[in-house]
Amino acid sequence: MDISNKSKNKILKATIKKCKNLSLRNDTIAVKKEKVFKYLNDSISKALKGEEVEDK
Amino acid sequence: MKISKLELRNWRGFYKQQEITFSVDNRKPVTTIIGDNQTGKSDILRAIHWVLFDETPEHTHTPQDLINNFAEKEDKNASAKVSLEIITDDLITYKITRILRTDLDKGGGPSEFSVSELDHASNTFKKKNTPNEKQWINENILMHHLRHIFLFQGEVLSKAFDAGDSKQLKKSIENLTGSNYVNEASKMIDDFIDQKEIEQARKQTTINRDENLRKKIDEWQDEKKKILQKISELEKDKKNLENERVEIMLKLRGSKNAELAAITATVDSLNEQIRVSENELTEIQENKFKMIGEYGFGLFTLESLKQFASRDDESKNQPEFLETIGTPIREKALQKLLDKELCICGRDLIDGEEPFKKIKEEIAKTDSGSMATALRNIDSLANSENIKAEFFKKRFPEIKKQYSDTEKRIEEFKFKLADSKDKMNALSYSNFDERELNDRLTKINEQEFPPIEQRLDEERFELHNINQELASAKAKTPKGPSDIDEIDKIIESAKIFRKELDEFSEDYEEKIASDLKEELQNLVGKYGTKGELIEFDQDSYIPHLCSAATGERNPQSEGGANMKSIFFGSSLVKLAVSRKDDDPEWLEPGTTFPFVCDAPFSVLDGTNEGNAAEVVIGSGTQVILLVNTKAFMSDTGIYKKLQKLKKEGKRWFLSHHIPGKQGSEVDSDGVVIGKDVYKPFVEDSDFEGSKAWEAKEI
Repeated sequence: MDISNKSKNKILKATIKKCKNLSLRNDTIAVKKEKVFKYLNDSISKALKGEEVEDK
Repeated sequence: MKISKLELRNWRGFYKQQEITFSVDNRKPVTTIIGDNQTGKSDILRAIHWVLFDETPEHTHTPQDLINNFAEKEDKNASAKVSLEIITDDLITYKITRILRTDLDKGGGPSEFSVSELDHASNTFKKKNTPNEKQWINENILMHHLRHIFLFQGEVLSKAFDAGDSKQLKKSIENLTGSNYVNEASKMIDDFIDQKEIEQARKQTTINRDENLRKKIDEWQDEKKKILQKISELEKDKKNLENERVEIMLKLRGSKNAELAAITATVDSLNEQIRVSENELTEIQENKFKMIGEYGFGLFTLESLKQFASRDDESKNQPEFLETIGTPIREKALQKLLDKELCICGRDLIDGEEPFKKIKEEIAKTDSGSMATALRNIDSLANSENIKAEFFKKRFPEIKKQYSDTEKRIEEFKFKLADSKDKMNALSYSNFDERELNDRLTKINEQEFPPIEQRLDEERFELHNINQELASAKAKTPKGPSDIDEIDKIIESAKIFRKELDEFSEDYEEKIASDLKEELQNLVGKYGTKGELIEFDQDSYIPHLCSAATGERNPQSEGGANMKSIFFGSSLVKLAVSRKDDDPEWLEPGTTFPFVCDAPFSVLDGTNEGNAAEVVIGSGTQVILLVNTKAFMSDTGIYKKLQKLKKEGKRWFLSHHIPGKQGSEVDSDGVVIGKDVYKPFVEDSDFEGSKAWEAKEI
């Protein structure tokens, strides 16, 4: 199943926001990656199943 | 985002508790604060700066002396406090407060920061937990990098331009537009794809290994099936042999014995009957022979007596055997009675009495000579022999028949015995051949069973090995289906995301630079020297005004650095808050913090003042304009612009009382706002320091 436009926008928006907030917190690259990767993995996975994507 | 209120207590020039409320009306986005030099205009901007970031901007005079000096003189424990009320775009009202107990120039400690949120139901502020104040401000209010843009002091940007601090400018612009985070997200997605591709490769390796393992498992399963088939066949063979063996054993033991036992019993019985009958026959035979003997002797005796009796010659002696015939017993017995004088009936025999006489007579009768005795004996013998002969004639046929019957019976028994013996033999040798069975049994036990057992052992050992291999392989194979397809799709989706971000970012910075330049060019075209051009330093955002004719830079043109910084700052704010129709939905709106502008209006000429005010007001967000009194006189450009635009929601007037000059008149015409004229230092009071007066327009 393809990801809907709505989910795609939600994921991109949340990813950018996460990058921003993690940068502002001066988190390490490793922490940033861990958190963003987890979000990307979970949210894309959900979106592919047609489930509602979290934006946080 | 809007600033609704600023509360100051003993903050720098502001003595005691004072508050300034700002216009939050979208139709009247400008709040103007008017004050002479040294009345506290810049302290308002500094207060906002301080409450948010715990620092005062560069170029701040006495940055470590923040507590109002007059308050400190009155009370050595006096503290400075600033509270800023902010309404977010989501209509959350925060009250951000910072308190300083002791000035830093007196060795004071850190300030105390707190945030509370307005509870609309109770209309009270409730404290929020904000363990990391910098992070909270960055994420919720204003990023640190953007402070100099939104808390605008013309000098700061001017100096950044002069210092050629392109890095700082670039970072601010990227933060302002969020393009750096788009780039960062793009890079992050790139790394994510890399990581997923590595994961995919690993999974693929695992899948290949698993496939090999599965193939191997299939092969082992087939092999196992074959072995089980073989084992099944062997067990079947073994079972057949066992059944056969049992059958033989049964034949050899149970069934034969039962039948044989019955026949043997019959044989034994017959043997016994034969033995008894033969004994009987012997006895009969003996009786017969005895009878024949006796009968023959009797006949001989009688014949001899007849011959003696019918002898012609009387002188012939009787046969010698007659002389030996027994003593007259009767006479002796009677004589014994007389001798004992006792009768056999128990009565006494008394001589002379009748019984005694009779016995005597009897004895006398029999008491004869040898002839009489002989005759008597012969007669007795003849009678006896005659009786015997009669008995023999009568009895002998019976004995003969008895003998014959017994002989027949014995014959019958013998016949039956022979028959039974035949049956016994038949059982042993006719229905089945015991030897053959024993041979077969031996063959089964010694030749046929062992190879089957051995093969069974071998096959079972092989089965055990395969089962172990299978268990080990199965433990290594994943239980569920592989998620490699999902990883493929995730990578595919992430690549689409990245492509979209890349396409956006590809020309986004150029677009920002172009938009910024266009905006600046518009401003220069509108308010600057005709034909002048704005150019950025190469690979930076440092703007330069250039002559259209010569292309030469002209830093002093039309207000020079001050105007340039106002143009630049307000253009940045405008850029940040504006959203283009073609911006993607995922792009967050730009920062919308209010534009607090402490522009150096007083150093500009009248025209530029007005232009600068117009530029600032047009930035598209809430504007807090800090204006010098002199610049706000009714005939100034700023006044005219503000009057013309009619966008002000609130006006504030700052007065300042210099210690030691209470009640002093100030040489000023004052500022006319509505019906009132505001002049600094007009009142005779004990107030020292700055005071903010709201000057509502009527």
